[in-house]
Amino acid sequence: MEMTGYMLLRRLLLVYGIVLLGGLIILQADTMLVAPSASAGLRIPQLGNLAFALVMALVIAGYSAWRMRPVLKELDQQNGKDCTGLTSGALLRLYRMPYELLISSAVIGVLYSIVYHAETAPNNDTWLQLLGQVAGEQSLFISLAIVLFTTTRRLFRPVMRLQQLPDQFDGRTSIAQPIVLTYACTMLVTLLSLLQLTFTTAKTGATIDPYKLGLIASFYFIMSIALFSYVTMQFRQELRGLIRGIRGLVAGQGLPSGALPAILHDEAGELAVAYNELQIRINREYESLERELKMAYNVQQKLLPPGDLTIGAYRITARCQSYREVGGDFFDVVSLSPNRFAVMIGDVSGKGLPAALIMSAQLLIFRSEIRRNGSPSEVLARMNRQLCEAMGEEGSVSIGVGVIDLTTNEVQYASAGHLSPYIIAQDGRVQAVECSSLPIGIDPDATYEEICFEFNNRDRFLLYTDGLIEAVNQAGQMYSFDGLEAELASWQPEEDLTQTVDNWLARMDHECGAGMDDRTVVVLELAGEYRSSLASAATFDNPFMTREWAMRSKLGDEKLIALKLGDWMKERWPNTDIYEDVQSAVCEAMINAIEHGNKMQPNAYVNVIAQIGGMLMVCRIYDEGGGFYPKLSRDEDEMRKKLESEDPRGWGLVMIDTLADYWTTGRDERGFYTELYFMRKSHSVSEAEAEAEAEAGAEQAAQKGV
Amino acid sequence: MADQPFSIALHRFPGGIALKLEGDLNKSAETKLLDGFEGEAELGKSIRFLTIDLTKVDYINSGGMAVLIRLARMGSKAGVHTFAWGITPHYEKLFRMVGLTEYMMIYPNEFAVMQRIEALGQ
Repeated sequence: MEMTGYMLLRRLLLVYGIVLLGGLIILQADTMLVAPSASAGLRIPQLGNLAFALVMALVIAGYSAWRMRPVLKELDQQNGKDCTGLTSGALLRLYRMPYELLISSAVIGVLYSIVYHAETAPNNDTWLQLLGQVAGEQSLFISLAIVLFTTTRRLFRPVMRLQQLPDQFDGRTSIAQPIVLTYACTMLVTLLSLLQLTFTTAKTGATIDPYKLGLIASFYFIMSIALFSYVTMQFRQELRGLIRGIRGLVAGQGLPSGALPAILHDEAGELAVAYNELQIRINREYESLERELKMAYNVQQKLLPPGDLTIGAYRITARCQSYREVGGDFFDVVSLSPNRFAVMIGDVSGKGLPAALIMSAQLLIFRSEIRRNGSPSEVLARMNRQLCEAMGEEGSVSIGVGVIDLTTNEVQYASAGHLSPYIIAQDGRVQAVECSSLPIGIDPDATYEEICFEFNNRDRFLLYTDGLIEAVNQAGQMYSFDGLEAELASWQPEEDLTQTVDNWLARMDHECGAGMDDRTVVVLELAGEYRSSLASAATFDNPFMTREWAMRSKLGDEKLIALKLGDWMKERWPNTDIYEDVQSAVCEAMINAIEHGNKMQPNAYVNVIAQIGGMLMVCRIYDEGGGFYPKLSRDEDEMRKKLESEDPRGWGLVMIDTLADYWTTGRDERGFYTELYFMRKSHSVSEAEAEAEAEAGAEQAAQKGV
Repeated sequence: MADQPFSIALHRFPGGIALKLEGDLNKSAETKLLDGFEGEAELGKSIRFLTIDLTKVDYINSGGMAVLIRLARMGSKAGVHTFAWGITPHYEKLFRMVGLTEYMMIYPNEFAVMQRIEALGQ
């Protein structure tokens, strides 16, 4: 309930009345103890005493009302409205009032003693008595002043609102000033009482009754202790209130803006204000961070591909649920050529912003690396190298990568510490694909196991992260692999894939809540009917067939790729025998890539992409180097010099130039490449050429006479 | 077919040395193939013929050809005739292409080479 001016005034009057009445009681007791002969103390009749106390209370109340006009007015105005606190002027009056009462009481006491004892002419006998009486009167008035001071301070506390104060308030609002003042006054009261006792009992020649002396001393001792205790209790209560207020702030409750608590403008109050400001600032910072995290989440979501995709005969449904605003899970689907695409899932160790940053970097690195070479294990090896170089041993990422051939439905799959994916057959059989190596980011020289398998019609292929397996339901049970396999076995092949996945995840959310980790699933489905039409269309619409190989920079390994290329050529162009020429030329280009492009660095890769069409074969050999300018001279003298030099090198380019129908070099997003072109030639042509060459060779030998 | 390690077998015959090569012939064969000849004092004296059996070599790259060129040219300078056999038409074409046939005569088989050596010896 809000305090009005009238209420405050009424309480003040009550306080003044009680204080003065208390003063009268003390006076009476004092008179009875010290001067039963009625020669000391305030000689006012009993009824007169009461009337005097009442009048004094009214006078002081009137004085208070006059001095506190602005306060009473503002309190009346603010009653029932949203109160914003008193103005500085009103607060100043409130703070000054107890001091004014203290000083006024002391001054009235002095004036009273002067007026009351003015006519008394002390002689040698009564001089000490008079001094004792004055000391007693002053002691009483100062005691009343202290009680008034502390009581009115307590009374005013609820109306002193927390607000910014001008500098001149600092001294008055400090808790030190009233403590020092009241204790000093209390000490003075004790001293005066002691003086009174000493003087009133020091009558010349009079014997002192030790019992009476002890009684009087006890009375003053009790009075002093009571006063000390009262003052101390008041401050203790005040401090407790402040500490409660501060504890409330620390507990995060803050200061309610509409109803400010009664905190005085002392040191503890200032501390509370400072703490509140600090909390507001922290809240502001937190809100800003939260906003930025939401933006980061949006960016992360934009980096990921759409959740529902169709590539050739495959339908892909992917969902990535972050546990916090940003997460460390990611997935990707990348089209590599008209008949190949890659699917990837990854999980960065750790959570929050650091994981999200690594995730973003890894996603972009994957896109770049998978386009350079379609082999999953090689992509993982290159990503691993880059992550190890960048992060040392501080970040590891588990990744599963599959490359799918749309024409054969063959899958090359490699995993770097990622959970085994599942194949869900049309008949409901669920089979885990076991293949795993270390996560990337741990050992820079790690190699990754790769397996090949083939999808059948209507097969579904599930990739997922551990947030799904480790989800815990309300009964405290972990979802686990058993739960996952049971779920997959219950999938109906005729049900729409997207619907199946969404229903499943909704059920997970319902049973297990948001969990403690990101959850990501990627599911591929081979839609059989569509595939057959694609396969037949591919034969006619896509005359170029593409294959890719990759190898580390090790001389000798080029032969293995050349053999595969030769086999493929025999299959595609069965009636020609240029495959040996192609093999040799491509080998030489690979050797150049290893020696000149990759500078023999064993971790650098050479990628070969070959396309065979009806009449033309094109072969591109990529390296990771900065590129080299091929120097080839067709001049006979130059050739002879090369042949006769001590270290006859550079034959590779001569061979490429002679064996290929056309060759060139260039650079694209995958790196520097040498590109070789071969035209399809029939047996008859090549045989005729060979015969002609053989004849020429025989003639040459005969001419030399060897 | 996996990478075939290179090996060499050497035997002498009256007036010459016969080398039987096996495996992949590339730059790494250089040391094995040339070391034995660089210090050979009899080249051009008692050794007038060098025969190379390439029957068991099914991969030769430019590095291997450079080694063969060095070997044949070294012999040629010392007055040694170099002969080779067991080469596929494809590599024969490449040998001709790089000019190796100027220093090394290619014959279809060992018998033809020996016939020629005999004829030259007379």
